[in-house]
Amino acid sequence: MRSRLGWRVAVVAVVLGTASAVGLLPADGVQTAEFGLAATGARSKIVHSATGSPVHDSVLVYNRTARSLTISLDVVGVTQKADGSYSLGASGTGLAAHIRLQSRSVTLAARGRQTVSLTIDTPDHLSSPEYAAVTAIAGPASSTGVAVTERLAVLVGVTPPGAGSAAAHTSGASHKRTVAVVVATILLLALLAVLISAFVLRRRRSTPAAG
Amino acid sequence: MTFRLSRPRALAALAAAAVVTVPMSAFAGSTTVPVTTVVGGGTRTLAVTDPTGAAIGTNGLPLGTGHGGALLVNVTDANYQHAGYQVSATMTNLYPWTGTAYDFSGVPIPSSAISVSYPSNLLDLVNVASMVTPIVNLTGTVTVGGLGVPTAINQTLDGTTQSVQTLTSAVTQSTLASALAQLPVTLQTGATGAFTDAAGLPGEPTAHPSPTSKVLMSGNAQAPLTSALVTALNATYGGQTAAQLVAAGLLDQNAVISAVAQQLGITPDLLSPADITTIMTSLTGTITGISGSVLGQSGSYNTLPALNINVPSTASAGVYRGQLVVTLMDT
Repeated sequence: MRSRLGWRVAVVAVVLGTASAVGLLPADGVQTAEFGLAATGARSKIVHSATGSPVHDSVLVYNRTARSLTISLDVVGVTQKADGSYSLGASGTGLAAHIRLQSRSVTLAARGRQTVSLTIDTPDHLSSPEYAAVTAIAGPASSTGVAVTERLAVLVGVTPPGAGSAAAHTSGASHKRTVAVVVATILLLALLAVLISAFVLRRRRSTPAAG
Repeated sequence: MTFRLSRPRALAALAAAAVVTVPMSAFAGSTTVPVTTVVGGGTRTLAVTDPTGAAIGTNGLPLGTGHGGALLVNVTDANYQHAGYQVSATMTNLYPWTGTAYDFSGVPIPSSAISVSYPSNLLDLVNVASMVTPIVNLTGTVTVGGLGVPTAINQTLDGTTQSVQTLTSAVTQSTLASALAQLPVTLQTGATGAFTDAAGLPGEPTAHPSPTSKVLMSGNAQAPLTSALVTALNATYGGQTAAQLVAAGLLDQNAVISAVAQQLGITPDLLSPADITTIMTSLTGTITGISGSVLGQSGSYNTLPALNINVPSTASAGVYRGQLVVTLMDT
C-alpha cells in the first residue's frame, strides 16, 4: 500500500501557509462587543495627500460573535473643531461625497472578517485638511424608547499636498501590502485546489474499475 | 508500508514547505542580538449600557418625567497601540410611533428639546497601564570557564515590552488632576447642551446635513512620568536574578549571554552550560529607565452622561421614538 502521507503533509502545509498569509491582515481596531472596524495596514486612521487622483484604500470589518452578522457601512462628513475634537456629520457630506465604498453592507459569518475597499477622489488643490469617517453599525436598533446604537468610525483625512502626516501611512505601501496579501492568498488557495484535485484523481486511478 | 515522494508530490511539498518556511526565515538569522518585543493585537472596545452596566434592552432609553435618561459609556483598551480617541453622540428628532414604524408625517419633538448633561459628574479610569520597554542594568561578579578570575559585570540591556500599572486605585474626577502625570492617555469630560440639529433616521424624508455631534468622552496621548514607571517596574523586578528576569519574560537569555560575553571579551559559544548557569544566577537586575516612548496602554475609561428632554407644550400626546447614535473613533 502506498502511503499518502506526502500529500497529506503538503496539503496541511499549504493550509497552514494560507492561514498564515490571511493572518497578516491587521487585527487592531475599534470594536464593540459584536463587531470591529479598522483601517487596513495597522493604522488608526486613513490619511492621504491631495494629488488630484483617486486613492485606493480599505477598511477591515470583523465579526466578534459566534453568529452571522450584517454590518452597515457608510461615509459621513467630519469637521475638526477648534478644540481639536471631530464633529461627525451626515452621510455623503463634505469629503464623504468624494469617497466611494466598495460595499455598504457586509454579512459576516461567525468570527468572520472582510476587507472593504474604498476610493478617495482627492482634489487637485486643498488649503486645509478635510475629513470624513467610514462608519459601521450592526443593523438598526429597535426599541420602544430612544434607541441607543453603538457605531464605530475610522477617520479619513485628505491633507494639502506636501503637508504630510506622521500618522499617515503611504497609500502605495498600504495598498501594495493589501494587494500582496490578497494575491498570496489566492495563489495558495489555487495551489491547495490543485493538490486536492490531483489527490482525488490519483485515488480514482488507483481504485480498480467496476465489473 | 512504502513512503515515496513522487516528483509532483515532491514539488507540491516543497512549494508548501516554502510557503510555511518563508515567513519564518526572517527569524532564522537572529542569534544573540538584544531583542525588543512589541506586543501586538491590542483592542479598544466601546460599550454603552445602562448605569449599572447592564445592556440597554428593547425598551431603549426611556426619557421624560420619572426617567433619568442616564447611560454608562465605557471604552476599554487592552494593550492598544494608539492613544487618542473620542466618543461622540448624535440625536435624531423623536417621531410619533405608529406601533410598527415612525410616522414621519407627524409633528416630531425636535432633537433640540433633548440635551446631554453629567449630573453625577462621574468620570473614571480603572486599571490603567502603560506598555513600555524597560532598560535593565545587570550587575554582579562571575567566574567563568578557564578565565579563573572573578569579573565584575555591569551591562545594560533593553528588556521586552511590559505593561506597567503605576496607579493601583481608580482615578476619578477629583483625583484626575493629581494622577494625570502618570497616565498614558488623558481624559476629557464631555460636552453638555442640546442637540441643536438633528441627525437623520433611516427612511426619514427630511435631510439633516449638519447634525449636532456632542463629544461624550475623549482622550489624548501623553507621556507618563518615567520615574513612576521605573519605580513600579523595580517594585516587581528589581533585585531579581537574570534567570528570574528571563523566566518572567522581561529579558531574553541570548541578550544576557551576549552582553556578558562581550564584556568578557569572548564569543558566546565559548561559554559552557555551567558558565551560562553561573551568569544567569549571579547577575541581578535593576530597571534604570525606559527605552523610547510609551507603546500603548490598557485601561477602562467611564463616563455617565444623561439625556434630558424638554417636551414642547405643543406636542401631541402619544409615543415618540428616536435614535441616539454613540460613536467611537480613534483620533
